[in-house]
Amino acid sequence: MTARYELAPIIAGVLAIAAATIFLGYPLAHVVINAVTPHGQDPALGNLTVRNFERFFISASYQRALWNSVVSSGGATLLAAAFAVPMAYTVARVDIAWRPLILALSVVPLIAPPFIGAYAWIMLLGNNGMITQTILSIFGWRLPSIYGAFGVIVALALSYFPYIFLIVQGALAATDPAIEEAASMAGASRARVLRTITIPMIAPAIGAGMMLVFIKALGDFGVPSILGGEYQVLPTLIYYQIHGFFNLNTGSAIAIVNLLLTILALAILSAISRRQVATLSGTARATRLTSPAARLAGNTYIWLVLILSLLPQAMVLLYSFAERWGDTLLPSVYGFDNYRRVFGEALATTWNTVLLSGAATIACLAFGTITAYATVRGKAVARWALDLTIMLPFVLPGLVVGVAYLSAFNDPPIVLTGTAAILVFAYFTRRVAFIFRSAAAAIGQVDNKLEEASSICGATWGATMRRVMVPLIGPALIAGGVLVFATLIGEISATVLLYSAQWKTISIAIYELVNANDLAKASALGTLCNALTLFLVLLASGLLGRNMSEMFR
Amino acid sequence: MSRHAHWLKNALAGAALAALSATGALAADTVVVYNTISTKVMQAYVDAFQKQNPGTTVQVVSGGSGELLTRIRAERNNPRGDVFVGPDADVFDVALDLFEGYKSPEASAFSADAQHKDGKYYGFSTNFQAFIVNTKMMPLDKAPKTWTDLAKPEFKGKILMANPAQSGSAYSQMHQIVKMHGWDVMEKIIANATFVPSSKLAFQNVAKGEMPIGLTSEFNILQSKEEGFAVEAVYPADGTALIIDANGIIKGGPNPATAKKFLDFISSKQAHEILVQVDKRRSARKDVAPPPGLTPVSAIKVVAYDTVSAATDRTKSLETFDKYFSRK
Repeated sequence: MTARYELAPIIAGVLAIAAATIFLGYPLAHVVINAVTPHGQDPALGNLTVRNFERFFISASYQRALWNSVVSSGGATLLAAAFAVPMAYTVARVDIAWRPLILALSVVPLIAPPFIGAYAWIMLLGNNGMITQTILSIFGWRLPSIYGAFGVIVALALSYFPYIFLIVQGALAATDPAIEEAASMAGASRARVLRTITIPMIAPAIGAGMMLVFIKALGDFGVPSILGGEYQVLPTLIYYQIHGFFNLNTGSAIAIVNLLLTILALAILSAISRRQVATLSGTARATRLTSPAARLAGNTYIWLVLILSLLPQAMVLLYSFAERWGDTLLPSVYGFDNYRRVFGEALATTWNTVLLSGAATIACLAFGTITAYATVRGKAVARWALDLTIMLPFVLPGLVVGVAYLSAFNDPPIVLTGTAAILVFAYFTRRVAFIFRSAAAAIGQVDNKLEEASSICGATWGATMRRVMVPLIGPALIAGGVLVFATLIGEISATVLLYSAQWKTISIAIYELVNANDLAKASALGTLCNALTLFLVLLASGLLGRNMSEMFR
Repeated sequence: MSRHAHWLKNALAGAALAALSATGALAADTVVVYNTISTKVMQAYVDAFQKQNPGTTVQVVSGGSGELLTRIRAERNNPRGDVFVGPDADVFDVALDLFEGYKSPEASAFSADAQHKDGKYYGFSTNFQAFIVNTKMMPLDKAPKTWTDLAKPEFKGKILMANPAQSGSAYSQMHQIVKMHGWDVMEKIIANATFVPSSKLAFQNVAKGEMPIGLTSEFNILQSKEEGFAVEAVYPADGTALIIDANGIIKGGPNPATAKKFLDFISSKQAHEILVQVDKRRSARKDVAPPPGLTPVSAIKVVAYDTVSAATDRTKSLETFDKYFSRK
């Protein structure tokens, strides 16, 4: 057989490298350049400085914010695991009703529209909140204040626990319960099976989920800005520099410190995932505990966590029907007026959001799959560099990505400001890691004998990709794509710096309404936004004919 | 598969078409407004301006004053916006190099301290900073009467203030307190107050009964009261200043001629009357009456606010604030 000259993989590789350089590396370089440029000056070789970092060594409030970031993200991660792991175990191993509903609802906290969620916590659990006041009047108890570390940790844990839940649930569903059964038949107690078999088996999944929560919590601005009060974390500090001092240089320096923290977390993640044992098999059966006690305990726990995490959304839903809500526990006038008044706005901005997020999702899918393939199968020397280039922007706060894109793409050689493209590429930058990770995991599970067989039979590289690889990893790609699309619908922090009037998104429309103190209309728009996302998630899982848990495996 | 590819092609074609038509729109008479005020008022302006200038498109980009100033600064070599609407005047003062001087025909309607000397900005609304008091939580006669009262131990843990580094109006409040009473008093207020990151929370959380006292602009108190919350305004008896917000033209913007037209319009009597009516703010024009329901100026002890020192002291003051704040 003569070796054929294959053009397709070379073109794909070159395009991927070009995209990584222009849309990931170039803006990232701008963050670094901004961080070492004195405030108010144009960067030049002669004026580079480390002054922007010096506050971390001299300012007590910076050191405290750094510490607070570690504590609140770490606390939220542990609490999220405490919520998620028993839930995942119950859904996978206990015979309970409404499993698909539970899985669908558990995605909702991830797609919360911007700003409204944290306000909802104040309306529920603030000093004068609905729950606080109800408990006070019935039992005479005063709940602890939600302002500060406690509230931030609880709210972050409740917003991000689904990442752990979905990943662990998927891992449990994929492992064969036969191993556990064998152990208990050999005489091991239930506790011993859990400790020596089940937990080690799902440990990598728990670790991966916890790292994801840690990274997301570390970058979260909305929750600490509303519930933190005086409790500052690194993202609020970045905002503080850019908003209060108009100083994007110090802001970038803080972002880099935030980035270093995250790299540390990623290093731990890769150390954990290297220990992964291959337990996946195609023949996992569902055997489930049916004892009434297990069902009661499982149901109680699951619904308690779900209801808690959906409370802010329920509040948004309630508020969306409130036509008048002054100084009373519940709205005084209900109706559809808020929806009527946002309808026109909703139509125009939803279309923009769908186009922009859709285009970005497609870009993520194309690029993420090719690079994942290259990292898993290729012998590229700079594999780790590619990995890092993709993961870093994922952990940068949106505000910083926005500033980086503004400074990178406003002047020649590449001018994109004012176009739809700048939003699409910024979204791409912020989310491609999702696809990259899930595609890499899926490709890792495909035996490369399949590809060899295909090429021995005479298929070109392109045909092998199209006919063998993509169908095999398709479900993982669609799951990743849905997650990218769903989380982009509410993207606000980069959008607010980059959007132009013709490309106003639904998240900007919500932001404007919150700004104008019109929370009722904002809630109506937020509810529409949620409904749209949930509809798309359900549609995708329906098209695939599989349930949500398998999608997010 | 092919159906998907077809859909993809359509979507991309749609995106390309939309991008093209966007460039087309720019060729016509257009003005790009970087907007920090409420969308209700801005929408009324867009409608009125387009009616006066048929065929002109007003493109509105909304955001906080910090975000939009960051955007203007990052875009300075290739500006995308034409007019900056509604930030505090001292936001212009810290970044005068980014704005264009323009002698508006409306200039004579503004007093000298309500406009920049080279016409880089013209006043918009002008508002007193006051205390919002939740009367369910604290009877009015027990409420603080002066700025110095805020430093008294009895109000510890009862005052809500926005973080001056994150909110323009909170910075103005702090600047005013420091100018009148010095850092001694401000240090005690920092110890007494709870700081929130947004100026909105400082009055919303008082209206909702989270805290009895908040520091905010007077129109927020009037708006909350009209929404049905049990709140009252207390104007500090030791004097409070009129803080001015403003509009200006961005230097090197894409549509300089329309920008001037829009600035003239937004500085006009008609535009200011809309602002007073919809947002309950006082106008910076000499010939527009304040909204009914606001305390008349004659009943308020007014002190001068120095926007220039507010801008020049900004970095140093905020560092001093940071020092006291981190000791809490």
